[in-house]
Amino acid sequence: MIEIKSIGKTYRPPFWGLAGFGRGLRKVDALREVTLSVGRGEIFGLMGPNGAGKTTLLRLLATLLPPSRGGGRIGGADLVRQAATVRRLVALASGEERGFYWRLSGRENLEFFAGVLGISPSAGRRRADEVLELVDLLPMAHQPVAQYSTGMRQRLGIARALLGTPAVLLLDEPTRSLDPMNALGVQTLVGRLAADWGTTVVLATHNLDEAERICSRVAILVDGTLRAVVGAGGRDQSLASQYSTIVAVG
Amino acid sequence: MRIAYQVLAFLRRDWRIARSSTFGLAWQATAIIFATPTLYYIGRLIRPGTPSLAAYGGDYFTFAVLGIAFSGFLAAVMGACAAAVRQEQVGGTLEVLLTLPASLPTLAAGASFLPVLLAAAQSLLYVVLGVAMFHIDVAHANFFGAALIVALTTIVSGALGLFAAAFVILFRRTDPLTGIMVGVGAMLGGVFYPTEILPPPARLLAQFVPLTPALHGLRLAVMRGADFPTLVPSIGLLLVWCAVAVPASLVTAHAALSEARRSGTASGYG
Repeated sequence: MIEIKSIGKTYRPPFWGLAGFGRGLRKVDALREVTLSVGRGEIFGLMGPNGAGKTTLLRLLATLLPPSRGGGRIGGADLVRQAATVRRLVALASGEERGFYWRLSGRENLEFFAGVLGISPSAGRRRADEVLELVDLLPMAHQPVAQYSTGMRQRLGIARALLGTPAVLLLDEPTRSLDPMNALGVQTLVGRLAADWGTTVVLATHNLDEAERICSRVAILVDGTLRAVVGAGGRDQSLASQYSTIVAVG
Repeated sequence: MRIAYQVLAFLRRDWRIARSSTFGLAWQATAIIFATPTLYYIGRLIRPGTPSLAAYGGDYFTFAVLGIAFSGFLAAVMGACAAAVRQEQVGGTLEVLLTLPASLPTLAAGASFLPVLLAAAQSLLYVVLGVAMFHIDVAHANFFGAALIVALTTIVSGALGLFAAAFVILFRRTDPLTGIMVGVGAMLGGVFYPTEILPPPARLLAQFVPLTPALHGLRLAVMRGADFPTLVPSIGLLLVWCAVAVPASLVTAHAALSEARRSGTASGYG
């Protein structure tokens, strides 16, 4: 479902470079020569220390960023040349608290984003309620997002990503701000999406237990470089020990 | 149908947000209700025989109402897209919108739709008040010619607004371009006075401001009921503006977005 080859991303300061604009920005190699493939219906983990390139990789897959080198395909569509097609296949839940209209309710937010996906108002409302139910937010659907807790906003972000029934779901630390019960609920939901709907999930996380529990394989990134892709679910060696060995070698 | 749903989604969202501040909407309408009689009484101070107003029939009140109503509408058209982009940047929703399968023109049109509709309603209120309470004479107006000029100028203003939006995308700062363009338009475009009274260098510069032919043509159509051949010079100039500004603004906005994506600043706001 996802094939990327020698993909790299270098953030360069913006070309205008006028005094005051872009000040403090410098060239950063965020991702270097990463090659990997993810199968349909697979839950694929991304792990690594802060600044390892996990979020950059997710943003490349979501076409928010163009790669500086290399390339890739999602569902056969080229990440750069067929970005519009890729956007119909992929949804990103960034885990950011911002990203909603705080005066609107959770349902109204989702109705808006459903509309931007090209879904009719009536179908959008039905779909909004379906995905709100999936993340256990339906009882709070009418409340303004301003009144949501951090965890509720995070779940709303996952609901938004599910609006268009994406073939590929990109999750950036989806359980970061959730309590253990809600985190378990999201992990179960992700497992169901992959098993029942065949959704491919790429999940960036710092949580070793979470990765071990729901991911079939985990890519370990250090300093923008892919160090290893290891099987999760513990056969010979636990993910935790493999991770710590690889990161320690750095 | 997909594009219609996308634009409708923006309209519903913006209406729901605007509805939560009905005081703001009511205040704007009240401001117009007070401004119209003020203009009427200023108009009574200016003698009907003023030579520079002769081309438009000599009535300053009608001249000023049309200038203010139309330039206010165009300022809203110019500023709507850049303001929307800035709000999305600050709210963190721009990043989300950029991951969705919606084209740049659709996003720009959708985000501008309600502010432009509200501005159109305000401008119409100016004119309706002028007609109903202060006897602006529109009995002989060429409405088709006026509508054509309004449509063309709206397209030009929308294109200029895309330049402003491109600035916001690139520099992640509040749009300064709309304010400059509106200021230049007010000074040189003939909003409050005919461009004929400007000194020759300023009159020459005024020819390069799209508001100048737009207001001249609109006033001829409404105040004198000018026929189509009389309006051709204004319409021709506006067509030239459309032909240049629309493709240039689309290319500029696309380039700004590509550059922001490349440098990873598309979603930032600081």
